[in-house]
Amino acid sequence: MHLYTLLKNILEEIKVNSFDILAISLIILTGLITYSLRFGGLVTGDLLSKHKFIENLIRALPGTLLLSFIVPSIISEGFPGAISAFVTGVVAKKTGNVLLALVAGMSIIIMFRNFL
Amino acid sequence: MKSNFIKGFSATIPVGISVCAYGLVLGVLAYSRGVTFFQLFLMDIITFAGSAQFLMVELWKDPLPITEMLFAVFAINLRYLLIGASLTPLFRESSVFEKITLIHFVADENWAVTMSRLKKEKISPFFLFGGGICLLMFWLGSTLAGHRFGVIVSDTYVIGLDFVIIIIFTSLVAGFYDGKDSIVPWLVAALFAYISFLLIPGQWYIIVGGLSGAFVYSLEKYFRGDKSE
Repeated sequence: MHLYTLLKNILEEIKVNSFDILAISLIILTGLITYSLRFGGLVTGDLLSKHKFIENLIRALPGTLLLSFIVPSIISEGFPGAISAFVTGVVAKKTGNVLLALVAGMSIIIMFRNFL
Repeated sequence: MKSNFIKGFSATIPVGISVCAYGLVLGVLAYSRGVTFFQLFLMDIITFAGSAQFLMVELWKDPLPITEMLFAVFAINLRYLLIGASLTPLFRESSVFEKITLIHFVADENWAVTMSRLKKEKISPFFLFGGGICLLMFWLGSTLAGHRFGVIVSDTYVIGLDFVIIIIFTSLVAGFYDGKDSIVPWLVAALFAYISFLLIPGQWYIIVGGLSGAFVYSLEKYFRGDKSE
């Protein structure tokens, strides 16, 4: 029985460690990807701007990716989610003040969850 | 060279302060997701890209969705190709060593500061580097502080912590809104994202929605003709 718990503990330990190693490798890998893009852009420079289609695709990506990310969460949050997201977006765009947008959006969602 | 560093550093302080709001939230989220202090520190230094780090933290779970995460980070950071390309004039007189080392320190915010300054006066890449170091300091300070304070946040649902990321991303998305040209691509992105969210397991809806929307944007520009050309 003792041997079993000991083995189990060792296995747990290995499992935790392998998660950590994987996590750190993953972080390093994402860093390498990001760095390659930064450096790659600098080196390829003028070459890239010749292909308008690709350039536009890359230009539009951050917005569409982030939007795709938030859409399911907003829909599953329902009406309060939609209102909150809309207000946040408008405030952020009109004022350019992220903090203000954050406060506006969060107070709507907190209000709905706690008082309505 | 040194004065360019200091100029860049001080010019980036105002944006640095506003970046702290993101940083604090990222830190708290990272803590609630089980990202360790050290891992967050590594991310800040090695990846050094806000939106990508938010995505990583949001996708963070055991087992780690490695493929989705790498794809997502690649896709969201593809814009650095353009950012890098736009910096070619700034680095024209630089040595290879300078290029290799300094380019790591470009993020959206100090890039914007550098580009607007470049229009007005002649600056060296050390201006960008100074701004990058400034941002990195604010970024490290705020994310790691958020991670430490994360302990205090107990009921994440009542204070809406699970929704904070959505709000943050919404305000980021607003910044990418490009007037009327964005409407159709964004509708397509939202639709495709939601459909694949319902049909495909995992986090692929981010990629599917993002790529389809961006593709529509390119098509639109292609057929209507790009005015900026």
